[in-house]
Amino acid sequence: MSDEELRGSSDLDADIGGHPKGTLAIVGVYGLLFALGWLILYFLVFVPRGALTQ
Amino acid sequence: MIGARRLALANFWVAITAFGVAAAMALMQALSRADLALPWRTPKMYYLSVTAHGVLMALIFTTFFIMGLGYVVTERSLDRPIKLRRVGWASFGLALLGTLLAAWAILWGKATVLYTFYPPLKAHPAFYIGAALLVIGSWGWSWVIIHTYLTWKRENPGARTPLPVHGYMTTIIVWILATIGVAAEVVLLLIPWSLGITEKIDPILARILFWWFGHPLVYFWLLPAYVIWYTMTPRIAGGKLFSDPLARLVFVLFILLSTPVGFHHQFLDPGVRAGWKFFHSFNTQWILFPSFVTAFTVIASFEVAGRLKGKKGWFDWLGALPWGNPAFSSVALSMIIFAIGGFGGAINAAYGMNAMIHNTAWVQGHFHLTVGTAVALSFMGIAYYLLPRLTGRELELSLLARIQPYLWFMGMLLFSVSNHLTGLAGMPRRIYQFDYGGSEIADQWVAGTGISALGGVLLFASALCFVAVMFGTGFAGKKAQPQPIEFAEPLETPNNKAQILDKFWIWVLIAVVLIMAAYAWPIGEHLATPRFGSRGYSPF
Repeated sequence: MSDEELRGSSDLDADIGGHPKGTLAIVGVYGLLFALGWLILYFLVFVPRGALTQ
Repeated sequence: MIGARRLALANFWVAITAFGVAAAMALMQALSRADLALPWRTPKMYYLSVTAHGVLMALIFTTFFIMGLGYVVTERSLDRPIKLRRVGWASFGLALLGTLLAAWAILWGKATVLYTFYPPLKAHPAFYIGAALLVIGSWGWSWVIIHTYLTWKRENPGARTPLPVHGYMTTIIVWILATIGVAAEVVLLLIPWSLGITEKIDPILARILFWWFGHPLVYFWLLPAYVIWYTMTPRIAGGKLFSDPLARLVFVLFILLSTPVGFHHQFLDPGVRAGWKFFHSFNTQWILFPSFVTAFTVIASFEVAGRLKGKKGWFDWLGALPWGNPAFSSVALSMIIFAIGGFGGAINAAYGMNAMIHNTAWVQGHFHLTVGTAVALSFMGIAYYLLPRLTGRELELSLLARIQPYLWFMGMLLFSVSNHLTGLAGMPRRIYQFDYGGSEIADQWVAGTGISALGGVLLFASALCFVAVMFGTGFAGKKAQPQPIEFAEPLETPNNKAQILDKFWIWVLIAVVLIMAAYAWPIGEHLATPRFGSRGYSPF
């Protein structure tokens, strides 16, 4: 593996228009899945089993 | 060329060796838990291997790697030689001596106390003394980095602290605040007890002090990975860092929130009032915030890289990233895994819901996503980048290097998801017999333990690839002119923005106040209650 491949390269004069819409979409979807998963575990596992009382 | 190259390499080689031994132990456990009849399978061997795997992977591999990376990052980003290099070598020697002592005690069956070394499980004094020497060695390393940084500050009045060093200073501050707890536990309680100077030990006090250290230990592992994510991977991807001030804010938040959180590991322990546990739970939920910010900032930096290659769509820039470069793919895959781990962490830290998964297989599933992948795979990735630069040799066995991160990713998904599910189904962690004495509920765990074992095999194959590439490169790689180690530039130079984030003393002061608020009263309250103590037990 050549060193150039490991180091990567950048063309910093290129256009970065539209940035960071893709990131916002990814993080937004993750946030939704995170909340949904938490609620699923809360209502479908934790609540039916019941909290420890002592 | 890095002046502290030999010092950094010495630390890296200890880390890689510990990683290789620990990986072999892990394979044995994974197969054993799936009830595969290995010829050497005994309870004694199982618990010895759990201890060895935990200590070598979580304490030795990580600490030595972090120290090695610290020398490289500090020297390169400050653009000045490391000061006190003799102290660095002495610290390395102490930490290595401690490692050898602890490893001897574990591998000879004299310290089967698991990585948490909770009393009243009792180990040979060599184990505790070895652990103390490792910590003292790491404090020496911390002083070398701090001294070099302060010298640079004097030489460059008014200059902004480079972001990589800002991240490493944060790491060191978190580590020093954290190790106060474990130093107190080991020196005041465990060593005198193991030497027979004291007859009994207070297990609750020991656990409180352990978790004072044990959770910020997670951030001692994670923060150097964040340094890699923020300052090196965007450059490797061909982009720029999205926001320098956001990265500094994240590092500072970890100084504040890393330590006053330990009771979320002790929700089901007696001896600590519910109010204090809730306070720690509250703090732990806050610490999700800097990790969310990190996810946004680092992915945005990758998006910059893709856009610089001409991509205009919502997600086409993802395809333009260098997925065939193991230095990049390791980090990107580790971030995907970390996203799943973050979700599990929110369940662990929730005061009520923690009871669903406490001490179950969910827990090992969780920390293999966080330290076992977000941290370990990031370290492996940056090792592919650094080793050729430090040794002046080309990366050997490049095909193995390319496939290794993907093997780890697949293996870890199989291992961890199955452990999360069997944990939710009630399977305890750290058990030798998965059938749990013929319990009916244990039937639900059979499929999960089989999938977990398959994941373990893939992980072991991946670990072998990594170790082969490292030793192949280090000792048989073709000689080449070393390339420079480069850091990502920010999209916008920070100039004088948010300079307060560089004033570490302010954040240390607030952190100390928070730690006192979180621990002084509950420890005082515990010490004021009648305590009877326990004798030591060594089951094997």
